[in-house]
Amino acid sequence: MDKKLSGTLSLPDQESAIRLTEATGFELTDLRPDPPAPPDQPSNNVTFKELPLGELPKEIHLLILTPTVIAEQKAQGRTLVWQGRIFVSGNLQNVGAFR
Amino acid sequence: MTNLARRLLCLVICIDILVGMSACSIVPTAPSSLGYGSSVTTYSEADFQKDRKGYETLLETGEFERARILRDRMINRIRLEIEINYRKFESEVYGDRAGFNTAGDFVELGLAGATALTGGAATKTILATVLTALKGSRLSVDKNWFREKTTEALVAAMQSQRTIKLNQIIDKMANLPANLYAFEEAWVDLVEFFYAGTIEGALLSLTADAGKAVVDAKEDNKEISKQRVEIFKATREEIDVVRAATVRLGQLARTKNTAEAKRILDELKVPVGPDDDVFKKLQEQIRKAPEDRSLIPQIKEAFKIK
Repeated sequence: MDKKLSGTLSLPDQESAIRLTEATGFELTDLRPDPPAPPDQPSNNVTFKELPLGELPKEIHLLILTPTVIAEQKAQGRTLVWQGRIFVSGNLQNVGAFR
Repeated sequence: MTNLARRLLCLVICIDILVGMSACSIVPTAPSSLGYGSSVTTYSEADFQKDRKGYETLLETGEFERARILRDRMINRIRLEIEINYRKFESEVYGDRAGFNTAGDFVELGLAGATALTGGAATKTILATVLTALKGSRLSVDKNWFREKTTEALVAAMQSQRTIKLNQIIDKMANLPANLYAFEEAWVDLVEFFYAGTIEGALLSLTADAGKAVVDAKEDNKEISKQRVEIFKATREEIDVVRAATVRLGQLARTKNTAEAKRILDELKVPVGPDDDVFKKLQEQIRKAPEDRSLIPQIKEAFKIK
């Protein structure tokens, strides 16, 4: 299942939108910027896979990737499950998804 | 066969042998760092196994970034060999087919000439029969091996299919970490990339051109992506309520508590038919929540979430 997510949103706002969809029994599998759109309307495509009835994934955390963030997340018991460049607040950023 | 005809036939055969032996080269000599079969370009089995073991160890320890680097290296080493082998194959397709056709032309012309020059009716018949057989053989090779497609059409089809597959691989390498685009999946993609550069692959893709359904399916996909629903930011409470409702739904389904599921559906004012799957209906209601936030307080109430 694909959903559209505005690339003008901040990362915490995008994270909350994905969490709400996941809360209904889906799991994020891919996140990528949409093909070139008007410069003031950047957007991202979010792909989810359906989980069995009543199942939920571990809550997702989206963070801008820096040299230390992976180690910091690992120290909190989380692993990197996806990384890539997406629109965040209108700009392409290197983002990682952790669970 | 008369002496003259016999001599002419021998001359034709000699010319054909000379043509075959003088095979025109259409590719310059490659430097050693790009040479076919060179130790520099070959990805030995020992090197591959060593890299693979390192990659699996990094995955197990959760070092996805380092695993990704190793994954990409393995993919590129295999890709290099496929690329070099394919270029050699492509020039052979051109050269061998051209050589075969040229030799065939010479023999046909020679036989036709010998037939015209010879006096005896029986010899004429024999030569004419041999000429017909030769023409038939050439047509058979063209039909059965190349499906009567020109070399250019086949090479263009191979290159096109290879480009499509290569772009898919590069896209996945750039956007997916090692645990989402594992080397095993890349391995399958590389096999498909290899087979895209074969005569068989080219013939199949040329046949698929007639399959307009391929183009239509792509257009349908574009249309579907245009119709994507947009998702919006949510509050912590909204997320918690929906998560709790989904967990509760799972419990009800596992214990087959249809009575409680029906009660919740009643409270949400959702009609239930005698054959309806009440758990699926509840799931449908929960899944409407991201698009209709007014449902969330109702879900909280109906599921008795604190």
